Amino acid sequence: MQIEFKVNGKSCSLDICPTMRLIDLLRDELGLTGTKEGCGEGECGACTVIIDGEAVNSCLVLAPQVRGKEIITVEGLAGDGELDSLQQKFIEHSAVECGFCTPGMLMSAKALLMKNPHPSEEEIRQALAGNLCRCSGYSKIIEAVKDVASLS
Amino acid sequence: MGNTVVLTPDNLSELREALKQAAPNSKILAGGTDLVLAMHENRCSPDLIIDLSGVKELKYVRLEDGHLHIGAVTTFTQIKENEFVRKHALCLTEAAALIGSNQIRNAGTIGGNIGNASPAGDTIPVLMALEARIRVMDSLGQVEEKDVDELIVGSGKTSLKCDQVITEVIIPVLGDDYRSTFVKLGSRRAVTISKLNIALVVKYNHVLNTISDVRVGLGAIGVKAFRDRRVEEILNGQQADDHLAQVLAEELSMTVQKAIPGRYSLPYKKEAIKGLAHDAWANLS
Repeated sequence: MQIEFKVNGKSCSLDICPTMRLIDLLRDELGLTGTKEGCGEGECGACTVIIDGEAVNSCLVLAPQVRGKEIITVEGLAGDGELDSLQQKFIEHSAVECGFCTPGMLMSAKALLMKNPHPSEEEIRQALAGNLCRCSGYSKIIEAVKDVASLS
Repeated sequence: MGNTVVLTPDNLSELREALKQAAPNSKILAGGTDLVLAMHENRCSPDLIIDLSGVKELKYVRLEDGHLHIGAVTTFTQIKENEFVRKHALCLTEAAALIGSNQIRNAGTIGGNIGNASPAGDTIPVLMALEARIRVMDSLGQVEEKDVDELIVGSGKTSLKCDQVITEVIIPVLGDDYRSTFVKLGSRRAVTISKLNIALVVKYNHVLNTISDVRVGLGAIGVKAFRDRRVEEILNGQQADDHLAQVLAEELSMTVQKAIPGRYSLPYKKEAIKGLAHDAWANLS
């Protein structure tokens, strides 16, 4: 079936298999491999993308559901050769270890900051509760997001 | 799955048309958080999927005539953040806030939670305790209302005909003298599937310190959630003190023992529900 949607500001019109998941559409059809598949069942958050301003697990979205919608993936964060402030702060705080959870962490944090530019630590923890990091990096990730939240 | 057709109605009239094509093996897709996973794991291969994502008419929370009206495609995030729900059906706010993660709450819907009929579905005992009615529509546009208990008949099973879809949840608002709560227990504190859950609604008389119209919804015990009428009768009219919390805990433990005799999880659940009962009670005060 033919669907139209936007990814990272660009309009797409694609003929897709209707039972495809959004994560497969992004990775296999569009080559946006920054979005990772971890558990594939909505537990780990590695596949998190932003659809119309809301963080969702792209492994639990059927591709036809995104028609007419606007998706942001981790590739959409940096612009004009400059990192997003979240990416910059993740680097400064060494909030990246193996890096597999990082795209999902960034997108959950980005969705939070888009709605609420100055969240409390509790709000940050809530927003990231659906993102697992198995390198034990939570503290540094929280610190990095807090740092961005404190920027004016 | 190569032959699966996905229909994408954009409004209620297109939805009715789509429902005309529905067959026993068809599925309604609301948020997708359960169905997309079931399909990916080959637990489900529908011939036809009707995707409700585009039916914006089914996404709302309204307060009308003493009832909350919640569109079937309203997400848990929208429910959790809604002031009408918080004021008039706090246990539903609490349940919505405890479902999955932020990502799941942004996608998952109340209609999907009911239609999926999981024994562990968090809104189901809540809607039973709130005495909600579920409005369903068929392909001819005919509408009927059902109790949650009529609609859900077993684990993953509903009494919906294949051309029927859940359109709305209707909840009589709780008066100012009511208190309600929802508590759950899973294998981790957040982002967890319930191993047990309790929805508790009581009418509280602060002069006499007594409770009445007690409603206890229990989930994740057996194949479907249920109202515990026996315990409700025991609690009705009683003094709301610490002794009653103890009675609630012991009686709910008895209910678990009667509901799932011999089940491997029984030794755990009959003890765990006592702690959960005390949590629920503490939330009411």
